[in-house]
Amino acid sequence: MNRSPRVPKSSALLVRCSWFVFFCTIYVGIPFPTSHAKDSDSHNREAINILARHCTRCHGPDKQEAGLRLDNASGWQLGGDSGPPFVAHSSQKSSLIQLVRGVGDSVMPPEGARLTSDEVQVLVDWIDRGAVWPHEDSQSEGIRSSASHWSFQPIKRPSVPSVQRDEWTRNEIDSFVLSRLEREKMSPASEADRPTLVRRLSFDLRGLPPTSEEVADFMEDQQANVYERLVEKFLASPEFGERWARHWLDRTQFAESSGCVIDLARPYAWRWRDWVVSSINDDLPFDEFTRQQLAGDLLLNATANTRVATGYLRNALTNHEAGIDLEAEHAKTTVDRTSMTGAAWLGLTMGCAECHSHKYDPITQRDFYSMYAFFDRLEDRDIDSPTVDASNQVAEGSMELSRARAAYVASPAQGQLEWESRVKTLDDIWLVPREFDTRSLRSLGFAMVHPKADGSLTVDGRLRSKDDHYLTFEPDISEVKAVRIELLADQDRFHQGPGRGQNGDCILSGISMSTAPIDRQNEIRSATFQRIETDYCQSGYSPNDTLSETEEVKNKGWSVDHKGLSHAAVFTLDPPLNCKDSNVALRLHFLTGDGRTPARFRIAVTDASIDGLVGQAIPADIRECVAKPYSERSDFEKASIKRYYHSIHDPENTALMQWNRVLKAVADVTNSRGAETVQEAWRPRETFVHVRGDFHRRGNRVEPGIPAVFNSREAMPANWSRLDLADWIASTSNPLTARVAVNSVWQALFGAGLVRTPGDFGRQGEPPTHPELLDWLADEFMRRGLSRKELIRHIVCSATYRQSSIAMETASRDPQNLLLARQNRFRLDAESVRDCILHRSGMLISQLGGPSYREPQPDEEPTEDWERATIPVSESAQFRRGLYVATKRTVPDAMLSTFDAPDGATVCPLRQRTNTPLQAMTLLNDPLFVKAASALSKHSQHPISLAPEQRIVRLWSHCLGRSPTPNEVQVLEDLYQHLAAEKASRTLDTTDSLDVWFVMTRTILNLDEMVTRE
Amino acid sequence: MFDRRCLLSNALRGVSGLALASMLAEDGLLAMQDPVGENGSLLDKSHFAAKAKHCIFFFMWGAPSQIDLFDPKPILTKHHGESIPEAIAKDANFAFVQKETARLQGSPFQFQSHGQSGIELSELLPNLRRCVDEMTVVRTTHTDSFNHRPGQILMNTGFPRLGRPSLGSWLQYGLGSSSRDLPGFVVLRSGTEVDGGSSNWSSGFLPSIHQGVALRRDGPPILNLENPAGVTSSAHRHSLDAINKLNEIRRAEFKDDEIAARIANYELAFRMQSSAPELSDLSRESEFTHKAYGINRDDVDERNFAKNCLLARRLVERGVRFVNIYLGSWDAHMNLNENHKRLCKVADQPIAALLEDLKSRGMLDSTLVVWAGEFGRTPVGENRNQDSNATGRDHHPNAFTTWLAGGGVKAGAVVGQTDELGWNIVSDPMHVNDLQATLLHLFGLDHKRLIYRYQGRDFRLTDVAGRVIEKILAKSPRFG
Repeated sequence: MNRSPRVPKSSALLVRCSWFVFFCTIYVGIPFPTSHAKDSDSHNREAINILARHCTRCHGPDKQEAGLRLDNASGWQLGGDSGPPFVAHSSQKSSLIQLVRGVGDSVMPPEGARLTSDEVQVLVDWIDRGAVWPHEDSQSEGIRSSASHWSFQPIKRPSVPSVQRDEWTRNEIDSFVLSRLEREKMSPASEADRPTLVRRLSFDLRGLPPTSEEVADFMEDQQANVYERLVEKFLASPEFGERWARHWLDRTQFAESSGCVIDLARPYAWRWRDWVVSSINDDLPFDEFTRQQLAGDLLLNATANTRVATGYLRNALTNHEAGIDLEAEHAKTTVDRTSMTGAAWLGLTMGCAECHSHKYDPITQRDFYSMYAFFDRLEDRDIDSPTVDASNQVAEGSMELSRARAAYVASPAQGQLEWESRVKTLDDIWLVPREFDTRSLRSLGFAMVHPKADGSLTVDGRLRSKDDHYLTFEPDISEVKAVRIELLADQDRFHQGPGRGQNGDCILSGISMSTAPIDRQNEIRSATFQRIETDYCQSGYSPNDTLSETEEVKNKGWSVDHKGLSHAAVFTLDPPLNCKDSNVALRLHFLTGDGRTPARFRIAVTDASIDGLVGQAIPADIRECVAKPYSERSDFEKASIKRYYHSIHDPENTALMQWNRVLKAVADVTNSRGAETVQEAWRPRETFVHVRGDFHRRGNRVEPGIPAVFNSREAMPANWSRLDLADWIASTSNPLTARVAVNSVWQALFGAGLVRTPGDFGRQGEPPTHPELLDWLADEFMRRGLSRKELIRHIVCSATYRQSSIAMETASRDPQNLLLARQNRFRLDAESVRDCILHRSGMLISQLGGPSYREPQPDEEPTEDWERATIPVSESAQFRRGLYVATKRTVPDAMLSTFDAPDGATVCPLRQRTNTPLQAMTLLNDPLFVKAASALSKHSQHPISLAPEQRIVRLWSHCLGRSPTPNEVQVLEDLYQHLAAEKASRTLDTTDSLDVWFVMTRTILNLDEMVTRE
Repeated sequence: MFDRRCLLSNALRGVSGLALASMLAEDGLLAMQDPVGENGSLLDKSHFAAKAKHCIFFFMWGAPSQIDLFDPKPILTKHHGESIPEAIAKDANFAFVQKETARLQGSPFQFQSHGQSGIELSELLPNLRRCVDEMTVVRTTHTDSFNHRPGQILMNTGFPRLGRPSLGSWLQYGLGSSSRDLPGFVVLRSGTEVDGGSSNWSSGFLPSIHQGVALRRDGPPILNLENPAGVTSSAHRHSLDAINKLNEIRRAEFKDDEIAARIANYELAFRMQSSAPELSDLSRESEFTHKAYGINRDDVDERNFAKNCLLARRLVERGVRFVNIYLGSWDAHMNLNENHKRLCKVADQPIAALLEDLKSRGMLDSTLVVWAGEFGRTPVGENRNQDSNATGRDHHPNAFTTWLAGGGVKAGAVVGQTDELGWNIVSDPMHVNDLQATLLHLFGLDHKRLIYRYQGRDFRLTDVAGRVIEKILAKSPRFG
């Protein structure tokens, strides 16, 4: 048969738009209707009309070739990729004039009719007069008009309207809704019945159905405030945080894999998820909630917990594939963070401005990259952060450590001062490279490497059993005669270094080095290492093995095993490596296994002769300490030097052994867990506009700042930090944040927001259905200390919320329910579908927080990474709430994604709510739901004395929280009769079994009502 | 009172997916009347006359080497072993090749002309040579992505990051499904799982009814098709009737059309429970067919791929719009010769058999067959473990080969020319977005007008690029 291809209506709009531009190019004056403008204006307008005629087809609202837009004043002044097209008062120097005259290599317009000489003269005169854009009225769609868009206006508290049917209202919300309905001559729906109310409230606040007791209590309780007490109970339950965290996770593209190429597991992304859950349960005010996530590392009172909050920024997608351009990836991730923040808090589609100024909203490309600049200097940092439980142990451990340290450093070790005087005489021969080619600075095991100001490289993030580190740098010497490798302690970490092995151990198993002239990269020269000298090596290991390439010693090498203590090795080259104007590439192997890879290390090179190298295998920080007079050293420094001295000269010293034991014990009790956070990079970075979104093409330099529409750039303080950004977003003067937040709460409680495009509060989004109500709620939200629980309480206690969702005759007048003359009826979110069925079958395990669980998907290839992330979790974890099912971005959970759970690839301010045959098959036959139906059917058969009809009623009430109607009972009784008859006829047939009550249960669990909130 | 037909006609009101409406229309239950999707009204006719009605897209993930399969380079072979010309080395960027030591690497495989068109193919494709006169070979495909995952996502969705709808979803969204009992977009996989997983057949921001349904390798082809133990088929039918009746009671009370859609979906699910096993039952196919496709070959990968090719024909016969077949990994950084020999052995015979089968059944005219990887492989060799025989090639996005057949594609043609080393394109470049624009064109759709508004922007398969490659199109429509 003939099938009609279909394309949405909006395509017709596009067609019309391009025709519009076409007409504009023909008819003079259409964009600027004749007006009573002054004379000077008419000259200017003539010039503008010439631009409209010849230029705006490619430099207008539809297209901005070369980033240039010539249909409004701001486009004209900002210019395109190569700057503004004119120099005021100097047509001679204006590129526009050169181009339309065609005097240079190129000519504009490239096709179609050229400008006549008269037209060129008009433009010349106009520019020489100063190129003033015509009177404001005639600006087409410029910044000015979009700045007047409703959502950019300050929030003003509207007065509560008076209504005729005052008795219906329960609070101010109802007055706003009712006044609108009365204007339309419509009435609100009656209040929903009690079973519906308790079920609705339970799903909305906890994401779970009510228990049978809760339903019974609510039905029987005759006190006036029974509903309000139920609200309080649900708000105070820990499940409240689990439910409402999920809304925030949707908006912030949370997932537990990195996305992109190699979809690595993020094994402790759950730390941030738990932070969100507990913040919401603790009702952390929304401004603080904002500040901690955007800048928890910069707060004056920053704690491990506020740093965990910055895990929000780690939700950006990251790429780990070989051969990627790290700069390009940094740019992509930063773009992701910028867009994500714009979407989550401001409800703006800022991502559009990555490549060109926003076509509809007053967000220029410059604005985008000013926001981008806040995130440009971020570096990812995986910290060890104690969970709340472990915090006390950490505090205790630190005290014990200081006591032990004080005892240990009472006096210098025997022979220590004599050794120190020898160390002081050593020449300073080392050159520490501080500038690394970031493209080359990498770990084969996907760990993160951070260069520090002192030239050391800190390693965190992914810990594989083996790793290889590469780095490339340009030394300032013409030949390298020796290389020093320091494996460094790291006092900033619980772990203390120098290695990431169990005891801070680290084994360097091999080293290779090569160089090539910068201009002739083909002429590669490899270094030959002659010998290695170390200050220390664990017994049983030989540093010389690092120099060998033979297979049998590949897994051996230079081993250090002192937690919190640095060591050094010097590798001598023979012949020296010529590195004049060359890049030096160094590769360090750590292949022994068990994670004995470095936590922090530093390299240095020298051109000093072999003789000068004697005794040089000693860490630089030890030498610095030694240079200080003994009396000026801190306890910590005294302890470090003494311990170092003991370790290399007297490793069996009893005081040392005691000290080592305390150190190890403290590190062991901290029981800290990793957390993904961000911090400011040490290396400063200048931010530029990326022309057309291409980071290779640098446009103007930008400073961190907010979009100009919110504040004139001049009024903005210099050196804005991320914390300033967070303060601005969270401030009560921000017109968007409170409106967006209130709208998303409303959406969660009605299935649709007052603004139905929660991800777009700009001009392309839909305007609010009840603008005064939105602003009143936003203002009230701020007045009540930005408490989400207060806001939710206020809404769910309104008569508007408590309406029935049955579509009465008014529904045909307002099919989308824009006027709120009823509640909405909609399918549960994916997690709630799952939680609801597990809950009613008695299988749901309630356990707040902790690592996620993930069921391997059918036919999914297992990876080492994901196995490690999921194996330690127990079997029963599959019965925890859907919130704890880890999202792997490339292979989403089949059940959850069938019910439209987001995959974390982009922000999801509004979930789709599809209705598909696959959902039917999932509810009928998914193994998890089969288990649930089976458990519930067994439960339903007790007591055995019940008649089938009674059993049906009980089962129904248990699942749906209401009694069935006689009609409904009849349908199920008929089904029961069919099944019973079939069962009876099959008594002799043992091969084909029929479980009558399993079928009955599965039938009820598959009802639309079961997975719907009414 | 609870007539199933009555339930279904109620179900059509307010149904959100387009596919369902067309299925019901095909059911003869309702005349097609201006169905309205949730995202605005739909065109009542295609943009141009459609030549293709169905598409079978072979996605050779991991990136096969065009130099060893489709794009003979005698000059490269002549200079085998020499270092890379400076002009190329200057701007080249590799994942793994060390530029300094890299050497040009000619193909060890022989090429020969075949058919009337004289198209040259490598000796690795001894069966496909019978079909060259049906094919248009484009030697100048190029892409933006240098890495597998973004490259795959770009080839499928027109954009190198996650989150956009794939080609099959766009087709189903634009044209609706034409299968009554099966999903309109089906994915078949064998061998290793493709890196990007289901993000390759995601419906992105389009309603999820348009997402590709991946059939499973073993067992039931669609998840959760089989009723659990304790549920006989007649009990299941009675149970569904009860579910639908109870849902209808609720619908009548709440006047909620979503419940009507739920009822219709339980019915489609029920039909799929029987149609899907029938689909995958290959025992009705003749022995000749089994043999031609190589269904009974010894190697499990060979068998599974052959089975998928035959399944693809059966899906298309049953009206499925878009079938995506994945095979990989062709990512041969080492041991390329062995890798490609093996995968060609897996793929060559069944693909040729499928083309011939479609042709003999008169289905090739309306079925577009596409063969592509995410990019190609370098003319430069890679030698990672110092064994001089175990050489491979690195990623090459600049120029690689894809081919098309049937469905309005020129029969027996080569489009585009690469330079003598196969490094760059000399003439007729075809960007991945161009390929996508051309595929939509063959289905009668203008890639600039098949759009979806999301997050304040109009999105399309070809993002902001793409143009139809006229040279690929057959001059006269194959059917009208």
